Amino acid sequence: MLQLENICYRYKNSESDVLNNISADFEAGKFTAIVGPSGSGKTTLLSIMAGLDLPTTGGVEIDGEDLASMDLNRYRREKVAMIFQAFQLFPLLTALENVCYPMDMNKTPKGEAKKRAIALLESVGIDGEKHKRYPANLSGGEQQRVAIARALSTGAKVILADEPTGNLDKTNGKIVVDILKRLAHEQGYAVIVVTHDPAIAEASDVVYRMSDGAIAG
Amino acid sequence: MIQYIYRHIVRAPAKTLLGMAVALALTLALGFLYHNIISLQGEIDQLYAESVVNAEFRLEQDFRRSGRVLSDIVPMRVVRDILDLGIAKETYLEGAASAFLVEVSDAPLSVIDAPGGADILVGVAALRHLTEEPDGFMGRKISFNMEIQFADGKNESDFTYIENTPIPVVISQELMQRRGLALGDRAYIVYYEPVLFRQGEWRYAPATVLGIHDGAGLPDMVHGGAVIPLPAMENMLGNFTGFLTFKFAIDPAFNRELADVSEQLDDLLRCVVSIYPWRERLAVDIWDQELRFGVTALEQHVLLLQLLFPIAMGISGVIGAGLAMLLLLQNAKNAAIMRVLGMPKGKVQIVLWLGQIILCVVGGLVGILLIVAIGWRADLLTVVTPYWAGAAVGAAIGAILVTNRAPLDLLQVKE
Repeated sequence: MLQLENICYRYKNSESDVLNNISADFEAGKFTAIVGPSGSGKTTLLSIMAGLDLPTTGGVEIDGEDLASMDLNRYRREKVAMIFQAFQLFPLLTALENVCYPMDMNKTPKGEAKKRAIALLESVGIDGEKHKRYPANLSGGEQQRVAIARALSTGAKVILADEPTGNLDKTNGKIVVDILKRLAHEQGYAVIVVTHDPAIAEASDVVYRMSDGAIAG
Repeated sequence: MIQYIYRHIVRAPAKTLLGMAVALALTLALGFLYHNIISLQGEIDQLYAESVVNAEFRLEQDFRRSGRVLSDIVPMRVVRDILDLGIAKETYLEGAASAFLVEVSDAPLSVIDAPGGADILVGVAALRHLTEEPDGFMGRKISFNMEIQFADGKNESDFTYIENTPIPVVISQELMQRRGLALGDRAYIVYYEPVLFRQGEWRYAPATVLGIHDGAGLPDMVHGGAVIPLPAMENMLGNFTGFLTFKFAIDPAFNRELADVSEQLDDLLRCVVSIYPWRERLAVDIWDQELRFGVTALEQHVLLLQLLFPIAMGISGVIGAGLAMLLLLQNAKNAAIMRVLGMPKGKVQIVLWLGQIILCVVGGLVGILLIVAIGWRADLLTVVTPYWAGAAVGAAIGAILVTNRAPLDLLQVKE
């Protein structure tokens, strides 16, 4: 689904590469973990995979289409979705409104967007009355599930998760990981998790270990 | 996009109120300053337009009788020159002449035989100037309260000069006794008519004693004189008519140019003195102290406000820019989320910019409405534009700064 081919990345005015010939294949239906210490280049790689930046050399393809020839904004709207350690919901929008937001951006009719948002929220265990709550009035686990629902609302088939359980306790963390695994195994999403958590790495189908800007081993 | 902006305005009341309140306050402040400038200028204009400044010729010593003429009085030429300047709105004149008042008799008329010294004639436009308090004449009440005893069947209205008829004369008790005249008597006014560059001639004009006055209000030198209509005196002496009193009200249209008016009058007097050196004791006083006192303070105040106003506009713009930028920078994370979700950078900037500008526009509009409701006179665009312009620029800069940051830098938790 998402292929990285010899990705190198160098910041402007920098003499050394932050990413060094990275190649990886992220398949649909697989729960993939990228692990590595701080400074190993995980964030930069994530940024490229999320379409927020382009590699200095090398290529990224999604479903056979070269990222360099795509409108990156459309790529982020339709092809990939991200979830974050700190959830990153709009604080002044309700849970339902947060999930509807990407669909509003894609000009989905209001009624349809609302219906789909409700269904997505309920699929991640956020039901009824909680739809109208603001993020501050939801627990961490609930917020992360709303974030997952928002990610799913775009229709993207690649989910990038940056330390999704970092701010959660064990129980909620497990719930979130289970949801992500179900999405991969049961619904065919390519779920890519960047994490320090060895438990997540252990539960993954594929693990890429990064070190000094390269995939080790 | 609109819904996002609307929700963020409505659901962040503190920020929203702050954004609007500052715009409102600064608009009102500028409106107040502007209104004060206009009001004060209006007061100044009104003062200039309505104040009556009087000017008065002053004889620095009593006039002298020099032979057959009176000297050191205001010559007709000066009066005409001043009237020609077009600066006088109203004038008050008292003519003065030296003449003999003699009783009509069968004996041939001989000036040399006329008993006593010359009498003084005073020409006035109307007797009421001496007998009454004219209503606000040139803004000042003149109280003479002269008492006049009229001949039988005669009154003030008979004090009128008609050519080829006897000149009505109101004489003093002293003159009456000295000349042996009585009420209703016919008389002659024997006067010397000067002629330029050659010997003048003695002339006489028929007169009739209309009344007897008590001298109240007349200058000392003419206390015992005879009062005749000013047109009669001008008819007798023509350009050689002299004036004891010459006051005039300056046309308010010239109130802003009184320094120039004063210079013109000084030039005029210098010219007169150069021709008639004995006129050097003539001076003219312009009584503009009240006007100057009132206007100077106001003009200083207006000047200060006019200096302050552009500074206040600048401050308003700077505050608008600063506040808009600050409030917008607080939206950095939201901007990053929008970009991660696929919104183009430019659109993110527009959403954030609009969200801020709407608050400023609403606040400014409320300020304008309040200015209109209170009735302040202010150029509405001038008072609101500095804040709007500043806020627009500040919000634009803030939006650019916020969207130039890498989204993941803002959204990732740093270890």
